[in-house]
Amino acid sequence: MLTFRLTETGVTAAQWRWTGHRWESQDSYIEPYRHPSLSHDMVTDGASTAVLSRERRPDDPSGDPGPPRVMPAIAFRHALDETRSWSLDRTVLLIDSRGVSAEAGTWAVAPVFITAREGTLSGSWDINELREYTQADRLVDREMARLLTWRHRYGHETVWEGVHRLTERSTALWQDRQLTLNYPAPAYHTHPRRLRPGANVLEAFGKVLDSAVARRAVVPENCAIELSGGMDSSNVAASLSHVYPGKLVAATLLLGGRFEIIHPHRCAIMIDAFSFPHSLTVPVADHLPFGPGGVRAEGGPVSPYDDPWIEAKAALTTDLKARGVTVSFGGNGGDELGSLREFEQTTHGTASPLPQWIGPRVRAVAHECEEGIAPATVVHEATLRGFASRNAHLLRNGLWPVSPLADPELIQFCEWLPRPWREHKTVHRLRLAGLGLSLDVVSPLNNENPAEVLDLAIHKNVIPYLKERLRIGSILADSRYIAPDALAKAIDHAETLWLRSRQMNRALFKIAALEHGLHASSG
Amino acid sequence: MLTNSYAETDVDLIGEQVSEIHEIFADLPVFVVPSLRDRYSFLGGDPDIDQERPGAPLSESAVEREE
Repeated sequence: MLTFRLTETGVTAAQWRWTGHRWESQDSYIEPYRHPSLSHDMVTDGASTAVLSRERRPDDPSGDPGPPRVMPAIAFRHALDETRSWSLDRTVLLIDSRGVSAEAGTWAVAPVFITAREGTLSGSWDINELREYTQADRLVDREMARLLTWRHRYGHETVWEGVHRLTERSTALWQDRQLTLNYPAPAYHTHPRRLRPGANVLEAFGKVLDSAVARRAVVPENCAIELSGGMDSSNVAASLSHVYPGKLVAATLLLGGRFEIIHPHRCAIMIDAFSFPHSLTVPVADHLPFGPGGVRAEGGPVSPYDDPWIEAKAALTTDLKARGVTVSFGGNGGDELGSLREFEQTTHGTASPLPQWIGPRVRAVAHECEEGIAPATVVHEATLRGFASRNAHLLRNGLWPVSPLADPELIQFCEWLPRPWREHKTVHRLRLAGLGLSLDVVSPLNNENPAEVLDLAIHKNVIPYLKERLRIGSILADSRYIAPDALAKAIDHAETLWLRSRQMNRALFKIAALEHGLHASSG
Repeated sequence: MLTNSYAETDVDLIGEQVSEIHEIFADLPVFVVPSLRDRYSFLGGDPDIDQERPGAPLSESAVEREE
């Protein structure tokens, strides 16, 4: 929600003034991310100053930022406490006698990246604002290992040394030129519970989801639902149609290939059933990852953490902006609602050996992937990683993302459900069936899967990119994160596999996305 | 690699949760700190491979570890 650059001089002077788009004190500034769904306020009691940023609830007044508001100490403390306990997303930046602290809420919709160097504290929800600190020759081996071995973890570390992610409920304190990040206590979750005889699970699920959808201040005519055709976004769409009937734009990335007929058909059924007055579609095949004319090929600012489908998402975002959409609802978090506990899982995998192309720097630390990670989070870690992957792009384009399926109350409700209700998204499917949707929607024979179109992208675009990188110079190879000879062999093998079976080694995409992200986002 | 187990607590209070939701359940919730496996292998399967989200590009590869 914030971008800031604070020096000791500006912080000590504390001469904060509102310029019309940011607060400044000498050479320091704090710039709020302006959006109608957010409120930003700078308050001070004379001794301490705080910027309070949060998502607006339906009845909250407009949140336009302005000059600092001076208030008595008790009112200042109340305002601080109120924001710290805010149920929606929030960020607090506090300047007091201890120094400067940044605090994240439970949602961390667009996590702040933060760094301190040479008497300056810098932070932003957009990693590209920190280019002077994101240096490709100062990478964090442990985080590189997580990304290259697919053990993605949620924590403070980023691939860039000294640049940290402010994870949910974390606090960063800048004091005496030292930056310290602290994790919160682990969040509690719950075991499944027993149902009362005759319990109406579907009605309860619908009520909780309807509440989750309606928690924020939005103008329904300016909202879109990213409708994938799956169970998650379809359930959000169902609730949106109850809460804001006949208002929203439905937006879909069409997968094509063997889903060319069934995917738009399935989405059309939902658009009709939920009475969405407008719809937009973008064929993914026209905007393949690493494709010509796309944001990666054009050298756009795509970080290693950005959405893998950034090219297609950019096309969709452009269309949504043209429609005046400012809020994008999605189905993030839906898979995690159906998660099974360790004691409920009937199969447990075993670790696979590392691929040959993994380089010595990754091999040396691959066993450390669990070290330094965040404690248990309120919202599922996979969802929060999804936010970090998806949301910065939306914010850059003026869209605020809303993920009702990540709502903590809904998460807890689903944790309480006995396993059969969660497994295979049964509660999701039965709710849609109860709303009259056909088997084509609630239990399709072939679920949409982007694997086919991704394989095509790897064949057409990713392999040529990697070959060129291996020829002209690769950060991953030069830094010994990958073994170039083994990667070249893996590419040869993948091409053979493609000719034989039209299947692909999808690890190649991960390698290319990381390589490109390091080039594009490093200073 | 994912080895730690549940740190289970006693039954806790329901708190401010909406009572209407609780009416469908016959017992009180038990609050726990989830295990690492629960946090990072949430749909089951291989605990040492990032499961990502189904629908994400790398979640269903049959050949991703071809070597």
